[in-house]
Amino acid sequence: MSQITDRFVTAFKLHDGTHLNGSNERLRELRRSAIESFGKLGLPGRKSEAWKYTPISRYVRDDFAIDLAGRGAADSDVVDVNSLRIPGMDGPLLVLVDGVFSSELSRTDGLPEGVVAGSLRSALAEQPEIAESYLASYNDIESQPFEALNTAFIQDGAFISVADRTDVAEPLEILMLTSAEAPRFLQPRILIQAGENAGVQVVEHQRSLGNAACFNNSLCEIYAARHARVSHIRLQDEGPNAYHVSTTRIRQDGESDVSTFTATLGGRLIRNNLSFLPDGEHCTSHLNGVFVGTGDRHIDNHTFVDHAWPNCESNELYKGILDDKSIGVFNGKVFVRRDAQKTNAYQSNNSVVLSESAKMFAKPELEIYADDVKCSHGATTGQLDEEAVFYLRSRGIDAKSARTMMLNAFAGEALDLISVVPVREHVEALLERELVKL
Amino acid sequence: MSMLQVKNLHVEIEGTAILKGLDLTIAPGEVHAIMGPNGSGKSTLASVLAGREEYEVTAGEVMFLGEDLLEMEVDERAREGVFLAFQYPVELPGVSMSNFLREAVNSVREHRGQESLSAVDFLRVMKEKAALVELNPDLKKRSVNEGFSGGEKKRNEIFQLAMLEPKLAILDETDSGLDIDALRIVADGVNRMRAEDRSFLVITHYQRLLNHIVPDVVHVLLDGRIVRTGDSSLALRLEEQGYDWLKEELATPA
Repeated sequence: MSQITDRFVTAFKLHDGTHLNGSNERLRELRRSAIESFGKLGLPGRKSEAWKYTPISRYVRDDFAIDLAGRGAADSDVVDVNSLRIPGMDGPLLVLVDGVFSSELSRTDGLPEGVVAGSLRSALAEQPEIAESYLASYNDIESQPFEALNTAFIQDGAFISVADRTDVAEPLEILMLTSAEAPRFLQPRILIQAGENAGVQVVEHQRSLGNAACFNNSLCEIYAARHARVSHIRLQDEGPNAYHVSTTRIRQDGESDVSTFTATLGGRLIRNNLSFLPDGEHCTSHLNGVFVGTGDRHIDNHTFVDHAWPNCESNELYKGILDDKSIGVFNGKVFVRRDAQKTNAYQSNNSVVLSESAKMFAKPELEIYADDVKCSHGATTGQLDEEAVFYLRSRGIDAKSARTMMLNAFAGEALDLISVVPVREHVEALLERELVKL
Repeated sequence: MSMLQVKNLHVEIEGTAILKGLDLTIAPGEVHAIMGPNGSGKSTLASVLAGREEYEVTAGEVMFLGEDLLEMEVDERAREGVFLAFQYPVELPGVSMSNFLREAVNSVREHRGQESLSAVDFLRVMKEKAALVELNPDLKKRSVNEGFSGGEKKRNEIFQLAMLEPKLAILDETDSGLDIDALRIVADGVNRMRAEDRSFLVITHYQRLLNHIVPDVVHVLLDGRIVRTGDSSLALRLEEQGYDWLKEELATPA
């Protein structure tokens, strides 16, 4: 066992029975099998294909404190939440400070009947059946070390549950804040469950308050029952010393529609693992995103759709802009099992690389075992169309504005897929902010 | 002062000489046509005037209203009042016509010390100018040139010309690929833009455009030099007889 792996296992043993009390028997079992699995797996090394371009081990520094006391929330009174929210979003708000739910900062009044939104810790204590039926029920702790690690250390996070036939009109914003002043390793967790015919939109907004190097290993699980409609938008706007592995695991029952949008416009190193399991017929899954790399930002999107049932559809579009010394990685795997006839699966990843030193690694992976399907993928990596820039300049538009216009137009195809208008406008503004740096 | 004065212009691309001592003077309000066979350097001249970087000027000068045009950046030239109607207009997926034109028009206006057009005025002007070249006003939401037919693209160039109101407009083979109706529409649009303080340089392969846009002066470009200058009857003779008679005359010492 490597030294760093050992640190986590030791921390687990130290806190098992105290901070990781686990009054719930299933949770206790879950943690123990997760840490056991993590101990075997260790952090992904150089030989791990899934981490080939993102040598994550070197970023999990041994001075990151593995602090389970949850101190973050205590300082929460100094946080001006309104200035951190997405402009124009004034609906329900769940605030996590260093992975701990803050009831003072959150605002969950006015939600329709049948909607529970709050602390994951409380939900697990008050509704142990949730742990029974959902928590980690679509996780891969056997082979995914970061999932195993997060699961072993589940403490708190956000919980959203929407009852059958309940529509939540206003989007919920989860503000995932990292406040730490000193290097820390944090593991927030989010559990979203939408009942039959329920509809909900969740915006997960990741931000840093301090400038200390912090590592977040966050995990979001989404369960959509039959005919449910769930939209999850993740806006990653953390500081220049933020390291973040964000895992999203989504299981859909038949006829449900789940869409995700991942916008990465901040942070130092961001790895997104997104897995969809359409677990019934006639599911629709959307996986869209944009990412912008400036400076030495490293952005890695790994997506996976596991088509096991007939008559499902998945659509995927990721657009990236990379400048300076930034690195982008896109790996999109679509698996169509033998029984998944009449699957429609479309994937597209387009990137623009603006500097000599920026890099993009794109790898579409389609594995198809059914014979009556429509699947396509396209990956392009290119430069900005200089002929187009010349055309704009020949009409009096200065070079910088011309380039910005072209990049906005390039990203626009994906941004148009963000269903929540204030979020789309904010992402557009952040894109402008990042493009000014170019 | 001349609108445009080109003196002894020598231009190379990748080491090959294309323009070999070109002289050209255009006064304000004049329409000049440049005709010439393929490879004579017509498009090179247009490209150099517009500011394409891949062309290297090895000798000579280009003065635009008394200023050194070659010292100006591409966008600066446009703001100063030089407009190039492209032979092959570029498609800009995702850039709407209205955004594009608002940005362009306001860049030019700002440079001239004029206020930006209000949204209402802008739309009004856009509608008015689109009508000049019979472009559907619905185009404002469309991406620039994307999905436009060949004729629409050329009309769109003249539409932009009308929006930007340049002092010198260079039309680079604007007639290529146009049917007779589109040709008439484009020419009408240009004619309506003719003004005492606006000059045109019409680069073309064929005389037919010049039936509609009647030039004050016609130049023949051969092998990188202007070898003959005349009035519009010169264009007619070229149309009827081609360039061989001129080549022969030039080969025979007078």
